[in-house]
Amino acid sequence: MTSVELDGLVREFGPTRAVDDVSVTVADGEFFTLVGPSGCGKTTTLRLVAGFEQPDAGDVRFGGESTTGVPPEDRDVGIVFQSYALFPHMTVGENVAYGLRFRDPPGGVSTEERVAELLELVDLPDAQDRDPSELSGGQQQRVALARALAPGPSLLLLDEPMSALDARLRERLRGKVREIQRELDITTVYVTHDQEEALSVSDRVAVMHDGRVEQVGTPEEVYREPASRFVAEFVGDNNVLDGTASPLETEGSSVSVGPASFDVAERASGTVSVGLRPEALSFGSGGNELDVVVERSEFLGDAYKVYCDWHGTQLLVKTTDAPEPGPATVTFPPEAADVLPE
Amino acid sequence: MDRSLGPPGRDELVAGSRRSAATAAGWLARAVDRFALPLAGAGTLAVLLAVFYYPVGTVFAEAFGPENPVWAILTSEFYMGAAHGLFANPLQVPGDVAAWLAEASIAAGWTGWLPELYVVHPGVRKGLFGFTAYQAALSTLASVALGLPGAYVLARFEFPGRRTLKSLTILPFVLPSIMVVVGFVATFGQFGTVNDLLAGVGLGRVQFLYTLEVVVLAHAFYNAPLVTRMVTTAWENVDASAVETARSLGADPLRAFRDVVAPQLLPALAASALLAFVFTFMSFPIVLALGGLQLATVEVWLFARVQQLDYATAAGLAALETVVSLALTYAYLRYEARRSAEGTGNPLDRHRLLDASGLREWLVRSGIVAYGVVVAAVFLAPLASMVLASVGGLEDPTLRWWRFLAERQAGGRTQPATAVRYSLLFSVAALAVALPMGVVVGAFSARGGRGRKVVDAVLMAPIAVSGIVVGFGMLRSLVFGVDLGSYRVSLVGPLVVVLAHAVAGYPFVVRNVAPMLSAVDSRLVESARALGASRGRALWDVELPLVWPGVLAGAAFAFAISVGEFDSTVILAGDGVYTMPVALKRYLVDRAAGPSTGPAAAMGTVLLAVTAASFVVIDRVGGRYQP
Repeated sequence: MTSVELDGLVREFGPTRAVDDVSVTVADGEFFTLVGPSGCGKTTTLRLVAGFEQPDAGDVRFGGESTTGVPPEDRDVGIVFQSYALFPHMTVGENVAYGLRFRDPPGGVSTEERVAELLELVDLPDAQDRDPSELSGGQQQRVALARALAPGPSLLLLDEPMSALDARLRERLRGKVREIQRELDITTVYVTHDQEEALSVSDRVAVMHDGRVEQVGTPEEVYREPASRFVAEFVGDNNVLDGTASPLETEGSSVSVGPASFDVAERASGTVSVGLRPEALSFGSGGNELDVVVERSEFLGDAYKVYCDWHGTQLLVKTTDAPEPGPATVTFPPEAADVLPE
Repeated sequence: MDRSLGPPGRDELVAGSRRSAATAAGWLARAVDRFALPLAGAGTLAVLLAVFYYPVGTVFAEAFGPENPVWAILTSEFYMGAAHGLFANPLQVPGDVAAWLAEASIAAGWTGWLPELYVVHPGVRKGLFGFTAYQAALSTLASVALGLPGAYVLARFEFPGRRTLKSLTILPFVLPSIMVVVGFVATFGQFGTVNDLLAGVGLGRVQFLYTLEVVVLAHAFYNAPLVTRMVTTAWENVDASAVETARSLGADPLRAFRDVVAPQLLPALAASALLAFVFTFMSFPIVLALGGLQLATVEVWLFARVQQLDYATAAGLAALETVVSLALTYAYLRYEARRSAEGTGNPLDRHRLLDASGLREWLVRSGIVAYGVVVAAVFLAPLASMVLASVGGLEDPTLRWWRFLAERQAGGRTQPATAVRYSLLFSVAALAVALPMGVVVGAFSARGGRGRKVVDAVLMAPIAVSGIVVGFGMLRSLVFGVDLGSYRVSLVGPLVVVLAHAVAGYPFVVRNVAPMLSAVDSRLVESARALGASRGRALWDVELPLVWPGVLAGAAFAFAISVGEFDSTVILAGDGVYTMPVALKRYLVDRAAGPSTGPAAAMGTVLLAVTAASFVVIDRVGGRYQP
């Protein structure tokens, strides 16, 4: 529908830079997610795109056109908030129809037809005359989605839309959102603090930290090749170890952490941070062997999270069966270790 | 989904090919949508400038102008009392103070049962300003003394009618002060209820009017409910679990009150006392009619100067009084900002008032009953006396005062029906101006962000500047004429009165609407805007429907303020144009019907009926005014 280009965006609140030189391009029809801990500037970035905040520097471009000075009502975006923000004094149908007071329904249909069409789309065909307060949280969120989509916006903005829902419902609803997004092929910018959610629905993800974008990439890239220590720790469970690397004779390097050391596949030297995904570690022998003390385990259903102590450093291992507490050996192949860029 | 979208671009963003804006009517509707709010904001500012800031500015210009009446006042012993030395001869002040201290002495002794301490000192002349502050301080003390126990009863006891009583504490804001004056005259006057009672039991009649005591009592009538209301709210917001935590940590009930409850009540008490001081400092009809010139305050003296055409002195007094009241209001706002957020946690349990066991509880309850008798006497007696006086009292019931009004209607200088008609006309017109002003300012104030403090200050200024000062400023600027190029434009009569009433009333609209507006989730407005609504349209479609009780309550306030407004009306309305309060004042001083307050009481009863109706509206829709 439209591409969105954020170019050197800066937004300051007093002395703090909430958004600090953010440049990102969202392609036409892409499902793009801004993910990061609370206070990282992701919501402010979304509000800059929606026009509720004005950038102190930089520009937001829709399809190559600057939006400077364009008020929110003229940006042709649909927005869904975490709090649903349904108008409590209007019925569900009136909520969905509200945007059609200002824009004609796409496709030359009447307002009534458009409302019915959208409620059908979000699986609430009979909710038209009900009050928003009669609906469950998940249903209200779907009405909010229908309302945002009714005028046929060229861009859909979702601000933590699932955060107020319980885990199971969240999973179902995000599947629904993704399905509708694909069906309409609408450019979507999604904001969440939940990295698992970000990985599961997005075409591409931007990880934000302290107002800056740390990495942009597909979910796989961000998970497997984190561009910084922050990304490595924020996205998924990870063991990040600081050590000193020295290249081995033929290939790879040796990394010493405290009194112990292990081999990695990459060539590196000097002070390094190494990421070891818990699922890449197992108990047994072969490859790198680390002598650890198993402290406790958590049962997750399909696996165990095992917390180990390795010479004073905590090491998290994800395995299918939990060892008894006590001394044990953790093993991993050198290729599983990821030397993080500085 | 059908894709009727063209290639995305600026056209799409700004105009929208599929907007209904294609037609001329649609274009007009959109233009109205877009510019309604900015225009209303500009209109509000224009009205404020024209009938508030410009007139008050004129007064200040004159006060500090070539004649410099401010300096004359500051260095005059009559106005400033002993403090005039600070300005006239500052070097001599330390010597004077030392001399005064040297002459003062403290003596202690036994008089009967109790030891007593005497401070003997030479008199200190208070001057006009000193006396004004003195009576305001006494009035504030009386208001706190009368109002604070009420907060205890309302916050800590449950009894039938508690909610009604609490909502009645809002009444002073809608009772015209000139009407209360009539009530007090009907109660304490030479032939008032109290003197009738005294005479009835064989005691002589006593002169109550024109004493400081009756002025202070009338001020307490007005401001004690304010104290009650603000402290009750703070008390109800005390989190019971904080008290329970203190108790579980070892504090006895008294200690828990001192450590947990009292610190949360003090700010509200201080804020209400400060507000009571500001109000009584600027009070006009009460002091004028119950005190007279021998108990004149700055406001009354200022009014007298205006009537003597001594405009320079009047301007100086007005400027100084305004500086004092603005400073106090600023202090109040600072204090208010620091008060804790309301509505957290669970409130304290209330005791059942009608359900006592044990000596201590019975003692407390008999104290409350005694307090209730005092409250009933102070608050009901004036209103009841007025209504009674309008029918000639109990001994000699008569309808001749109502007939007197009817005769005036047939041919008098001040016709009651005309006063009612003008009052209603002005009130409706003032409401039509004040309501949009208040809603617009409320919207800015609720969402203002950075500009909010400024907006609040601009908004509160009309509350902090006395009606006489505004009225006087209007007289000097709008009524006497303003030079615009080669034309001299002079505004008088109805229009100016309406605008003055609107400026006096709109802060009440704001104060009712703004808190409710800021409680509306801002995401609702943002959702509406993302869906294509302009800011003004979102206010109209989403926010106003959600806060209409506040709008209605604010409207009732503005209406009531206009109906009761006396100060600037009496200055601005011409002879032929008068409202109910002005008519009331005329009947009060009109002795054609003898010394009786009958005609004024009858007129006051009409006014009471109208304001009571406004109060019912405010109460029914949940007036939530919190000064």
